[in-house]
Amino acid sequence: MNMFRDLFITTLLLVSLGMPFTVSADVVVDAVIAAKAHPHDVAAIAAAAARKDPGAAASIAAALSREAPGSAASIAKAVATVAPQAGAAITTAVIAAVSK
Amino acid sequence: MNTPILKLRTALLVVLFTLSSSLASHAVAAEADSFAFPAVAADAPRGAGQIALAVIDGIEASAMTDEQKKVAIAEVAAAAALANPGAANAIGAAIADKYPALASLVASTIIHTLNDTGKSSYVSRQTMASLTTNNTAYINLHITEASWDQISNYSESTVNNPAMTRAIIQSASPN
Repeated sequence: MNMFRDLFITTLLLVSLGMPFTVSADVVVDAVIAAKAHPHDVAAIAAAAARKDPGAAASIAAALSREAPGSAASIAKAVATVAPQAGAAITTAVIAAVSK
Repeated sequence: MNTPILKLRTALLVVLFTLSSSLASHAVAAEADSFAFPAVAADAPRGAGQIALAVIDGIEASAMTDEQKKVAIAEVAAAAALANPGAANAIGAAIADKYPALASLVASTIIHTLNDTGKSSYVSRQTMASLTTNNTAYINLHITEASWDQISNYSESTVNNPAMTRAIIQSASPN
């Protein structure tokens, strides 16, 4: 009985690890700031985060554009490359972020 | 139930989970390192049009099909125009200049979106005028008040049809 229970828990754990996880835009921004990333690297970091969680692409692009407005265009392009279906949302979010 | 063994198994599962999470974090960092992207100047322009063009460049470089790209580009144009209606004119012209084959689709999508969201028809007319005059290689026509009235008399679905819109503009042109 214990063997089946362990097998169930382990399977559940492995399945959950294999599932796509959500990326918080705030966490990405915190990581960029903590790492003192060069502005030119921010776009690559944004793309990597958006690739992991395409659903958060627009919020990630907006949050990083707010922190590095000089790189807003490159951030928008990099994120749109990996999450093209979110193009309109990325445009709206980044324009709003750099307009404030 | 052997409690010490159960605790040991639980501890092992926790360790396994922690190690897996750590590996996932490293994978994200490694992916960021491997993603090459050309650097841009720190003082890069960041107006609505420039942002829209940057997103469109990204869409062009993506793995989308050509048909999907057309729709996505038109949606980006509309989103940028909606975010800054006062610049809709320039946004539409900039995108149409870079992607002449999409000029009509961009124009009709911008107009459709602005009208749908209650923006003034003046902005829509200006957008169309800009697209037709700045993109002369593709349309080579000048829109007039009369031709705009002719367009606006048609149904919304007609205005949203690029081929039909172009035909109306051509028929209404003084040339």
